Amino acid sequence: MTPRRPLLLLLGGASVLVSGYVHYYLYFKGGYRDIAPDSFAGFTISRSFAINAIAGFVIAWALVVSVRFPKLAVPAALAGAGFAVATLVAYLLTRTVGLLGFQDDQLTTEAVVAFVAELVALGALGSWLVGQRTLPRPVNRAA
Amino acid sequence: MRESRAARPVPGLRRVPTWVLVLAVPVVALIAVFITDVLSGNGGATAQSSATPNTVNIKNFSFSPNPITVKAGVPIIVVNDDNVTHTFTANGGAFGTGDLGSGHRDRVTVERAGTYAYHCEIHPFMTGTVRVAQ
Repeated sequence: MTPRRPLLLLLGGASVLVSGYVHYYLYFKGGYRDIAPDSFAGFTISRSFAINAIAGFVIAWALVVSVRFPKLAVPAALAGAGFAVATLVAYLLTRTVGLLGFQDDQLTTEAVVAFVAELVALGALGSWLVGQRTLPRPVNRAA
Repeated sequence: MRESRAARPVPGLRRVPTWVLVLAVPVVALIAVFITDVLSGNGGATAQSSATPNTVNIKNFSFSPNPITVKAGVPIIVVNDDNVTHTFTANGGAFGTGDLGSGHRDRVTVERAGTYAYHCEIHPFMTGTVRVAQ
């Protein structure tokens, strides 16, 4: 493992935490708490904001801790990358065709911050995961 | 073996105690939540506008009351109590506030009796009806 790689996990964790915080802020302070134009199996756009905030916190914690507990690193990185992709896709849907009845043509500071954070998370964790697969295995000196 | 490679920390990180890594995210999150609460003052609740018979309030991405009934020529006051910008726009273009920022208000007047459907141009799922009586 090269020295850069734990930093990629930390960068991914920080970015996921920022995205989760933005969704926390929008849910509790931004008026997104009671928006439910449509629902799917009890799942509304408001609840998706709350779930995003909780998931962002948990995944960010796992990514930071995985620097010391390596068994956690791959699942945490996969979860973080998945979180970023899902959030980006959901945001793009709300800006185009709508998601759960919610559509928003407004570009806000919060949206830009979350969008950039998710791109950074995807880049950092994607790079880390690709590096995991492409790095040569260390030579087994005992053999 | 991959796990052992992943475990090798950068030199600076090696000196960081495990408990610091475990508590870093919760502490940062708590500080962010605390600062947000302090900066937003009242815990996020925006000042509720006093309701008058001809006032439409926008709150939590919905118009209230809906429908609203007014007399022709009487101004409808539109108050945005949300933290994001909305509009109050008739589907047929009979009236419209344009962009109405958080905490702002505007008024529109409809001279002809009838039923008018309206929406928010920014959030098309937000719709409502104005009934104008003679």
